Amino acid sequence: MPIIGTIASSIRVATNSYESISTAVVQAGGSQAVTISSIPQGYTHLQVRGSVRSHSGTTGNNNTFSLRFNGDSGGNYWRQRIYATDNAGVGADFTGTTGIDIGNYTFTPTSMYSGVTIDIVDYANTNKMKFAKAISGHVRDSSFGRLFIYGGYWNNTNAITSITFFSVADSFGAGTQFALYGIKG
Amino acid sequence: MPATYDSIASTTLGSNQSSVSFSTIPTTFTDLIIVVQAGNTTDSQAQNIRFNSDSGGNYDLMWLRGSGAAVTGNLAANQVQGYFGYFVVPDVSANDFISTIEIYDYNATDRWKSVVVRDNNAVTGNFTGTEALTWWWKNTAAITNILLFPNGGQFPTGSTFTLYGIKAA
Repeated sequence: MPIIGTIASSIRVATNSYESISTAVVQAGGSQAVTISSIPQGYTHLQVRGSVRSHSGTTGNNNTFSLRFNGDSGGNYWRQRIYATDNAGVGADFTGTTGIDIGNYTFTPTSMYSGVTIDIVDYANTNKMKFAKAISGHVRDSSFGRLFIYGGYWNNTNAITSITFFSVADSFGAGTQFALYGIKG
Repeated sequence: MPATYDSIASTTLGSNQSSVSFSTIPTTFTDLIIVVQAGNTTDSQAQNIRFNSDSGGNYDLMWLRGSGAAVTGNLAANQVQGYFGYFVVPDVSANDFISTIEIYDYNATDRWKSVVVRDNNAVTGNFTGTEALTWWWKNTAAITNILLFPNGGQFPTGSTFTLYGIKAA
């Protein structure tokens, strides 16, 4: 592959420590929740790479989506976030909650998918609480934008066997996808 | 499970360069990641990125930046390029700035291209900034070319740029 203006070298290295496990894609009609289940236990960490858009396309300017582990919808999660809003607003907050807020997307237009990478470390370790972190955001127009850095944990040492992503005030639009990867360590 | 996260191309600069380009990108992956470790021969220069040679006002950005004790965030819409970092000190070393650029669904033709960046910069004995960015290239075309270039100065000798591809199941 040519690389202009440089001394180029190309390498292709096969790796067997980062593997694609499965991908969940929202179909026509949208969905308020997406679940990845039967997660194999043979990795050390998980990573989810998402592309998320709105189903309604009309409600509000910003929407948050969250995750739960193993179907636990109890108040067993905590999350911290740092954020930037619009022009020059910054802040941070912390809350106990029924799921870890982990991403954001806007409502218009339909071609606007927000990308997010979610890291979940030591997901199968039964001696540790489970942590997740991500960076997410969007710019709707010249006066409205959001950027969030999230960190949260599930106060449970069970191995993670399923992950549910859900949208609080809206539904995920068709084409929204969450791709799960396993990392061996 | 299929292994992925493949190194597509990598370069280490043997001389100062005004730009680095990845072209003829394979269409077989889902996402792209670019890892940069570099410097700049002139201080306080934004580090820019363009897709498919688009220099129109088609990039909308949000950033959150910490430098010293200051935290700032801002929005910049309709920019003529995206952005993968910013130097705040004079720096000619190739080892004082790192950036990870994540490009989602680069080959999809039904959506704008979403990008998330994490970058840090430092100079020996001092750490000077960390930053997160999210931005869109407002174009549904598949990405076939990526150009990285500083606002001023050059990437110095020894700077490294590596392009990875990740394929979803």
